[in-house]
Amino acid sequence: MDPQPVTRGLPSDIAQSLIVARYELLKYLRSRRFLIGLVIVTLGIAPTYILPPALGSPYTGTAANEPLPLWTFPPGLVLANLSHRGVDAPSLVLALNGTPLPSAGAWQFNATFNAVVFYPGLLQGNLSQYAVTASYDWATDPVEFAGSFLQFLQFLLVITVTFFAADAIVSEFSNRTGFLLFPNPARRSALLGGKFLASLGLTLLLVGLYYALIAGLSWATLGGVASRLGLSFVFALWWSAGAVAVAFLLSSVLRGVTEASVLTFFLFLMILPIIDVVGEAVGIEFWWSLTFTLPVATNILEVPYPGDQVIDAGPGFQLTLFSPDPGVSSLVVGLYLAGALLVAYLLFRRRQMLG
Amino acid sequence: MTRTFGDLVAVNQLSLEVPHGSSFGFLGPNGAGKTTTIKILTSLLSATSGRAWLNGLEVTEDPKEALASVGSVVETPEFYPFLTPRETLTYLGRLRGMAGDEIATRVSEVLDQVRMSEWIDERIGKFSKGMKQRVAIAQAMLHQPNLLILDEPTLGLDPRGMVEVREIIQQLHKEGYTVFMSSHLLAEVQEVCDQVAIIQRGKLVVSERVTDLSQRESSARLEVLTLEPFSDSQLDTVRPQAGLDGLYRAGPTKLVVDFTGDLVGRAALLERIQRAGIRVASFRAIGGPLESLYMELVEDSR
Repeated sequence: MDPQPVTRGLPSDIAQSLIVARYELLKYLRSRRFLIGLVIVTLGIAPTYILPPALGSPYTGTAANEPLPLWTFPPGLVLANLSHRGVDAPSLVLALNGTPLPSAGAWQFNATFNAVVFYPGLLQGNLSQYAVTASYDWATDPVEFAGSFLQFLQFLLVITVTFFAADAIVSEFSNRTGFLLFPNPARRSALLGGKFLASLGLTLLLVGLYYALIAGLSWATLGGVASRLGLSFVFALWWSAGAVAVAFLLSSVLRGVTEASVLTFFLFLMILPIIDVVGEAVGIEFWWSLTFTLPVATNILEVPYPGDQVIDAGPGFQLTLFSPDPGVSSLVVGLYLAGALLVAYLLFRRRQMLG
Repeated sequence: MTRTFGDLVAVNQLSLEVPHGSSFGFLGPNGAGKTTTIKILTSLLSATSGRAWLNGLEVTEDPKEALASVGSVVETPEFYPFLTPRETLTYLGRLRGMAGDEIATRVSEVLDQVRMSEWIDERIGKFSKGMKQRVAIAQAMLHQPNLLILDEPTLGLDPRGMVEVREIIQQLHKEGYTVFMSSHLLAEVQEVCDQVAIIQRGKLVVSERVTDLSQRESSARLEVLTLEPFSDSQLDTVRPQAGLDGLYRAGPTKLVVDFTGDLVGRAALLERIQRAGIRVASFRAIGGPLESLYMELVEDSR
């Protein structure tokens, strides 16, 4: 008897990629790395949220009868700065010698300068004779609030890329699991696609959780969320995709899991950032560096988008703090994503189970 | 096909045909090129030159289609430690295009066949090498391929496991599956396979049916156990026997004979020993025809 092979249609490459992605995700979700990732998310959120109020800088408060220093500018314009930003304008009450001052026609709050502008007119001449005080509710600006958490973003992204992408390819060879996976009727492109989706999915999960916690805390604490936090999240994910592709490239070249993980970690946390700092020192914009583009995720929260800053860093020495252009940076990340993934695929396709 | 690694020629213009429905043993010393050949057949390695076909489909050109109806165990594969046998086999079954119901049924069947049912939902990370080898064999059979390529399938198994795997392979062979297996164990190949090929230094030395080996006139080493100790003069009486290449005392009641000849010649040798007054308790070839052929053809190992 010569048995006929059980004939069944093979799944398409895309369907196989999704199958690979599903089980790669399952592998990672059960690994200790995922738990460590959750701990790191917690460590990024909890101290940043708890420490400022614990050290005497609450996120919200009420200023009662705060004395206002007055600044007089010609021709007779008088300004008074408030000590807290994020003033709840409707709650603002000014008083002269303890007597509340009606706002209509006398003064106006300017949120941009965080200052009260007194109109020239009835009170102007006598203003310096009075003790001017202000009472108001204030809350930290949601942009500032979110920005303080996003300082941890680079470390979180590098950790997730290292944990969930650096060994994705090399482990099949060094851990010998390729002997199980590669003799299956699936193209290397399908396997690579599935692994890439899984790595990106894990990044989405952890970084998404991080952003969700920021938004939730901002809403609960300040009653609002930075309007461009979603854009920041989208850029962070886009950046992750580029970084995962670079990690895959290293993973398809290197021979061991440890060296791939260590090199990925240091590339994004030390090597490229050092190059960026050198650029700042000499005033050259290394727009092509992947880590140079990452501040877009923080800067994009601000309206208007901030420009470059030159700061004195010692006698005769200046640093240029570049503000990467969002459009150029997105394009650079896209080029890293496409280029690194293509080279990773070509190397992976040629790589053989020699051991 | 040929495969080189730098100056080393691992597989040297090897040309081999495995008939449908055969159980084909692939033998050779360490470094002969057995595993390299199997890796090329399973798309783990590319050939430097040449081509290979599985079920008539060229694996070197289109591995996805060629491997669709092939099950393989290459070396002792490692598994994903956080997955269970059920999950691992389901994963591979989906990649091979099996439907959900079919996977569920087959996973139970094949794990039962390799005696791993009670571990079906345990994570593989804590399995022994032998347990992993059983799961590896189960995944090879999962999608009911008509061709099984097995590289040392009993490696790492305990004696009972080896017997069970041999029985599985024999059963599959009886059902008409084509089995192509490499092994160091000549007795195992002789027991399980109906055809063998021997390679040395990457080159094919011989390929023939196992049944033909016993018909073939070749050297054999015979072991003779006697009831009582025998003398040198009795041995001298035996030495003139035709076909006798060597006669050695292996113990007070044990004699080893290197003999070239067919079964009729062996019967004459036995009669001569008995005529010399040596009372024979047992007379048998050591290793069988395959071992004799192997020892005759294979010079050394790398």
